[in-house]
Amino acid sequence: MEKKSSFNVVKFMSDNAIILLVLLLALFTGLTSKNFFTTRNFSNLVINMSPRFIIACGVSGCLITKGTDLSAGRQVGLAACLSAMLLQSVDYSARMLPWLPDVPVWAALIAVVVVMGIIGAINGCVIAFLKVPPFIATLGMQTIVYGACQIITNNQPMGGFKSSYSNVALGSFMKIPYLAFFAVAVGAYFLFLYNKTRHGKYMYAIGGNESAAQVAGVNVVATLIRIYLLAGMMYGLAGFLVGAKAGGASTATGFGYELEAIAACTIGGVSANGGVGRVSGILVGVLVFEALKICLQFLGVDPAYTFIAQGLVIIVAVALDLRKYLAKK
Amino acid sequence: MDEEKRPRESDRPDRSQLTGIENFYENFRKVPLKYLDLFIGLCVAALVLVIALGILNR
Repeated sequence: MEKKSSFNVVKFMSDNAIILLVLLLALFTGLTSKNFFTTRNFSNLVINMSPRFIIACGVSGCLITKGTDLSAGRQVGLAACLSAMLLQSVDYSARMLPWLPDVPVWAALIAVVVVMGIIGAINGCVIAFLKVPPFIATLGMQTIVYGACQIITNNQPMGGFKSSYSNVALGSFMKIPYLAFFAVAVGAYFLFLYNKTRHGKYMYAIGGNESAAQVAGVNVVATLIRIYLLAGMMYGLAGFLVGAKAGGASTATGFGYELEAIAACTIGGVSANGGVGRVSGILVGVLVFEALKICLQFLGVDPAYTFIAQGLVIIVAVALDLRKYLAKK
Repeated sequence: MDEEKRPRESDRPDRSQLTGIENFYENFRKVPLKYLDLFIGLCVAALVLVIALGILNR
């Protein structure tokens, strides 16, 4: 019997339209701009990608269970502000908390991750126990976190970090930025969590069919709370890194990061309808989004055009997800 | 080329059991896939146009 070829070029190009387009754009940018294909630019790409990949990993769990997390960006902002407050240099004149003794970087990181984990757990409890749609629950949390951040920081931007904190983002080991190690560690953890643990199986089961998962004995409430708690912890880690990378933090930090993360997940094949998504896909999605931004910066394109391009990429990603949903059902 | 198969009316899920996003996606159930493909193609073309305009106007 003749075996029919399963590879369809048109379908492949249609499914990966954005990725192919950005690859072409990167090639064009490399051929027309100096210093694009350099280790320095690659290092810059990795530094930009790392916090966003960590945020996207956090959001991915919510998306796989048919949820979302619109508070991600503001939580990142709050985490960056908390990190900044704890890790300002002791001799910095405009210190936000002048009475605070010198806090070790690791202690500040743990404190920030725990606080953001609590916020994530609250999100999870509201969604799992009260059955509030994730869109509404996290939209409310977004505003609450933003308001809390303004109160805590008095709306003052913060800088003057101690060198050990700044080095977390600026330092490198064998020319590989420290930020990349954080991203690799998080990626490996999520890869293990999604593919090798009961939690991962429960997560995909809930995303596939929540009622069926519950009937099959999955503790849906506990799984959802764990997912949002873990997401909050990831925002905490990402916020800590974003603060170190930027060398300062304010209430504006993290604005719009949630949409970038959701878009990156969607580009990477994490379906907004749940039950589908891989860590490798998330990495590709984040890479595509960041590569698009860096290419347009190299080409000297006005940031206004970059925003329009990013918006179109999000629309195409959602349309592709919708197409997959309609073709599958 | 073979048209992609679409589900029958009776195969469709009960909308009251669906999440918000699924409900939103169900609104497009009657839209032929070729129109969706056309929309995606137009968006990609618009993306290329925006990038080209951005490069020309720098």
